Amino acid sequence: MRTSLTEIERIENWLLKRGDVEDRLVTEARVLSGVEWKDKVRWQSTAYDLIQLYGHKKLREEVKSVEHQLFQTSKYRPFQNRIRAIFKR
Amino acid sequence: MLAPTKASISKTREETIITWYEEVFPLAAAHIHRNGGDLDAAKEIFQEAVVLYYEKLMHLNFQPESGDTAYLMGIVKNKWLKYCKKFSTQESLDYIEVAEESIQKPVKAKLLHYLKQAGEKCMDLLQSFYYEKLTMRQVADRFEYASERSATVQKFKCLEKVRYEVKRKSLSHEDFLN
Repeated sequence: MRTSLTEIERIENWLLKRGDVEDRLVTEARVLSGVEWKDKVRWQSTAYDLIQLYGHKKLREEVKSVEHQLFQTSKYRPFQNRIRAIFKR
Repeated sequence: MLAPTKASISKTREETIITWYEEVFPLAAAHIHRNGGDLDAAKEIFQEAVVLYYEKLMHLNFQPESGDTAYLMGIVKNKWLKYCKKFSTQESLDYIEVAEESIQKPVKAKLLHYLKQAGEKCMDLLQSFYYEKLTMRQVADRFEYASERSATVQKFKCLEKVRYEVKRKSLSHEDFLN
C-alpha cells in the first residue's frame, strides 16, 4: 500500500482506537505536534460522518422503495387489503 | 458456508424489511388508527421505526430479548407519541430524533451531494464497511474484488478521495462545516 494510504490507515486506527497501541501513540504524537496532521484528522473525521449520512440515506431510500412495492404491486394485494380494512373501521 | 454475494446481501436486507412490514405494519397501523392517525402517518412512523431498528441491529450487534415485533412496536408507540406532541407545533417528524437532526445539517447534505457526484461507487463501498459494518470479505464479494487485500486497498483509496473532496469543497465554500 502506498505511503499516503498507510497514513490514512494510521489515522483511522487512531480515531477508531484499534490496531497496534504503539502505532497509535506515534500517530497521536504527530497529530498533537503538527497542523498538517490535525487538518488531515479533521477532514477524515468529516469524511466518516458523511459516509454514515450517506449510508443512512441509502437505507431510508431502500425502506421507502420496499414500502412502495408493498403498497403498489399486485403481488402484495392481500397485504394492501388488510391495511385498507384497518383504516375503513 | 458460502460467502454472501452482492445480490444475496441486499436481498437479505430487503427480505428482512418486507417481513417486518408484513408482520408488524398491520399492528402499527391499527395502533395509529386507534389513536387518531391516518395511513400516511402510519407509513411515515413505520419507515422511521424500521430505519432506527435496522441501524440498532447493524451498529450495536443488538439482540432484542423480546423479538422484532415487540421492539418495533415499542419504537412505533414512542414515535407516535412524539409525533402527536410535535404535530401540535407543526414540526416535521424528520426532526424528532436528535441524533438524526445533528447529521442532517444542510451543509453536510450539500457536501454529500457533491461527493455522490464525484463517485457513487466509492461511497457505496465505504458505506458498506463503515455504515453497514460488513466484513472486508463481504465487501470484496459484493464489489467483486479478488481478495480482501484488494478491497482494503480500494477502501483506503476511496477514503483518500473522499477526504480530499471534503477538504477541497469545504475550503472553497467558507460556510461549509463552520
